[in-house]
Amino acid sequence: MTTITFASLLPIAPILVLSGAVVLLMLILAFYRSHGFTLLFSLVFIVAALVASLPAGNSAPVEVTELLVVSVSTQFYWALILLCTLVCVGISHRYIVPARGLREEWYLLLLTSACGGMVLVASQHFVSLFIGLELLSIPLYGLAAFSLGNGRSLEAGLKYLVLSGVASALLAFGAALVYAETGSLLLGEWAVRGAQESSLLVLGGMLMLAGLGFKLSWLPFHTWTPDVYQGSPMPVSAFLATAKKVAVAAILVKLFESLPVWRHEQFVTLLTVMAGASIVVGNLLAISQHSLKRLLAYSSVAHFGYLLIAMIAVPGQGAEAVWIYLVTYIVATLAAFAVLSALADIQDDAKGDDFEAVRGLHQRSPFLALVLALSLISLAGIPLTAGFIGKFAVFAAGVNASEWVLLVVAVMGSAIGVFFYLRAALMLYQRGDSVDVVKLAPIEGALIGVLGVATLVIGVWPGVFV
Amino acid sequence: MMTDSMMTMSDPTLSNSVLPWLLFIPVIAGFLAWASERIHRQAPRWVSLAGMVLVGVLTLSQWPSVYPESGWWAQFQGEWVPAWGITFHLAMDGLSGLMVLLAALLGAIAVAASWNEVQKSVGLFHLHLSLMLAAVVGIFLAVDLFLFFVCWEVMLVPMYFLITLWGVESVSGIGRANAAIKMFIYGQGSGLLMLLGMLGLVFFHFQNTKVLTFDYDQLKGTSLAPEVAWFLMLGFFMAFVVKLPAVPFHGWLPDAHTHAPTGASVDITGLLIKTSAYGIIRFCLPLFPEASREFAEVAMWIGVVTIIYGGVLAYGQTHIKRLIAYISISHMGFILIGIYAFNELALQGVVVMMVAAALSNAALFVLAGQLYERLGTFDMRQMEGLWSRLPTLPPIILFFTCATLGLPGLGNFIGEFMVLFGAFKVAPVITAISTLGMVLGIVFSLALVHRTIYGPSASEAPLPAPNFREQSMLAVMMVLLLVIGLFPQPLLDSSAGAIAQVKQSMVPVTATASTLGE
Repeated sequence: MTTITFASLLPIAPILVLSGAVVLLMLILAFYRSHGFTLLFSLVFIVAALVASLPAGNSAPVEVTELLVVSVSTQFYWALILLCTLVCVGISHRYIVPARGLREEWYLLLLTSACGGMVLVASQHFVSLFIGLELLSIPLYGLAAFSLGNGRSLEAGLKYLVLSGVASALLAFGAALVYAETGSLLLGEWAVRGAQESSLLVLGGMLMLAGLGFKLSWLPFHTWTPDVYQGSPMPVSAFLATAKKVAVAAILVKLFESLPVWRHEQFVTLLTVMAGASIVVGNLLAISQHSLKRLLAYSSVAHFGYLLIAMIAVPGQGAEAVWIYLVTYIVATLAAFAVLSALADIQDDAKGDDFEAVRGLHQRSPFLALVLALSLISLAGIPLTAGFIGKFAVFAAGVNASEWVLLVVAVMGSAIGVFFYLRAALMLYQRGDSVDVVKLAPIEGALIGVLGVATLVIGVWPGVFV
Repeated sequence: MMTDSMMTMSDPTLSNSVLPWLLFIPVIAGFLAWASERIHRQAPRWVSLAGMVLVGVLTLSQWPSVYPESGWWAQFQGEWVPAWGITFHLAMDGLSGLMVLLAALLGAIAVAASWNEVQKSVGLFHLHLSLMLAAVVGIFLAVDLFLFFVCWEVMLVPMYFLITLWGVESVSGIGRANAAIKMFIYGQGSGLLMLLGMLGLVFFHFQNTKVLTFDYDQLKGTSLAPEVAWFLMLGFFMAFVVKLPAVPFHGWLPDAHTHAPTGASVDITGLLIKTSAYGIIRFCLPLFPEASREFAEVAMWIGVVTIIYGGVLAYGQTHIKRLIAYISISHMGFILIGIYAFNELALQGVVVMMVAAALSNAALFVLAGQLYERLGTFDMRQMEGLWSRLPTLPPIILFFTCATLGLPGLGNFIGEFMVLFGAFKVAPVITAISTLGMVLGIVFSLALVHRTIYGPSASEAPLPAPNFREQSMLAVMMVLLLVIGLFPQPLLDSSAGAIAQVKQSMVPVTATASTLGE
């Protein structure tokens, strides 16, 4: 056992900054409540954590105790999670002003959840993995049900609580079985000792896949997604769709590297079927939706199906494709949710959700309509937007790994996807009933603008980040 | 890698500064047109027209005084995504030069044709029209596969909005939004298959040489296992054959035409579907010579079916734009046969045919638009007897109908004749059957003429005569068709080098396949 010194904790400074912020905020809230101050406080600490997570040039992975390891990719995923959190916090303020009851805890919960996500992506031990995952999820139960007067929101919170709990239990049980076989909870040890054929490992691997597959809503574990997205307040849906999924996807990449059993032929077949089914079903079910949040929910099911194509190619070119894809996906998804959130507030979420309410958005705010259309086109994967670059990277990884069947399925899925994305984008430019001008908070407008520009810049000049 | 890119940057032959402007000018003109709507309602039309003309003039400025034997006339290469071996590589030879010229001309005609028709959001309309032209020019000039694919897909976005926002809502059809989405889905699905083909080619090239590149010149001659090459070729072929369109992938075209505004119809028939013929000649054949040769017979039979099916369906139409759409489908069958005959005669015939068919079909769509402006319908049953009611236009309709049926002396005849002549040497049976297509061509052309301009007229009320704008754009196309029909040699000369190079890359490596040549 090594002693923990201050210097050895330096690599996890972003986690410490954010946890410190959570504790401090909790203390402050006991004496002084101010919505504006809490927002500012959260933003400042997220930015501070973001600065701390920038790679210091040292590229070798650094172990921090047995539990955590910090490498360049960890720092990258931290930054990604923090950016998602930044956007979600930024679009929250105006949104939750009309909320009944306490508002400041909203930020507390978001920060805690982000903290959990950061622990999760840095973990190299199942204990930290599990703690991170639960820390990520538990605040979200509260956030999903935050709109207390709203039955939908309560339903979303409860549904998410129960199903997510089951998924976590499956994951823990799976890990226990793997532990029984390998005698270790270190992911690195699993990679070494888990190479042999064993039914315990296969079962454990399957259960873990089910548990984590639930979080990324792969088929057949996707059924919670549309209900929870639709019921949750808009910024929470945004957080669920981006920060949470980024964190889980990052740890999955790590598990793909450290669970040899997932690379067995039968598992690859299973994963292929899951990916193909997610792509096809996600896209097909999205067609018949009349709620933008449900549409985005099914779209995320399909998108994580595409992502699985890249994950199957881990280790190899897959890991790179995964992060490229995640960046392009979250830019577009955050932009879409930020626009929808700007149209609604916590008392009346449907104003940014119903097709009929959003129809003709161009007349009310050309700027919002343009960014939303752009993000939908990006999600459809049309060139010159970020989405295409992600799709391109995934296809390239798939070609490298010769996943031809899955790629053809992905092509079909994309063709279906075009239908509902473009229909939704077109709707914004049709004549609508509502004529009220949208009032944006300055920070919302700035974030939406930046996300819109990022969608285009990444699409036109992918060289800036690959 | 580093030295390689430095070399390309300093190479003077790779830094022709005009080529990228051919791409950027329509984009800039489009945004200027959009902005200029605030100054004057008519300003966008003039701005985008100026953009198209400028593209044409700049293309002509690149025309060499003496045609080189082979190789590119001009090239431009810039950095784009070095990590993936993607460069902004444009190149022009006779084939792409002709196509860009055609694009500029039809772009201008599209602007002129929509002068009166489009009155809603004029600036935005011309933005889309110009972006569409930029994408088409990009397709014709790109020699980096990634760039080509980007332009190929992006082309659909402005077209989608042109149809959905300015299209014609039909009473009985599937609706313009659905027609546009249908076009987009066909295009997107088939395009992504091509993307798979591209990535596969790049991947196998990387395996062979350890060089990651999307560059056409470098990928040409990648040695592939026959079955791999076959599948990759199929990916490319699917994208092209859907956009061509050949039967049975033609479902999107009549619907798109039915609902498109005239300007967009001109662009679809003149440019959008010609990009696919260009794509086969430029990419499918030289990148996969062996696989293409194996596939030739299938492709030619698809061509035969397309000619006959398109012709028969054209005869049954009552909607004038659907009729013209099926005529253009039928033409594409000849183009497919000509391409897969693999000899210079047929390939040159294809080039002539692409230009001539683009002109004659675009002119018919313009005429259909002009009839619609006067009669308020596309239904030919309500058009009878126009000869007595409408001055000037009926003989022009007759002229362009004769052009489409391949009357000697007009451009289409030269193209069809060369294609059939070239193909006969290779595949006499297929050629003989497809000659039937020429007969069908006469039938459907006569049907068009009979249903619209002859017969008893529905009413005696005279219709307004075409104005100077309408007459002059039709006159330009008439003159060009006559010139191509009577003096095709300059056209053939300019594309000869490019076609010779395609032919050369198709030269069989093994002696057994040489029987397919001349």
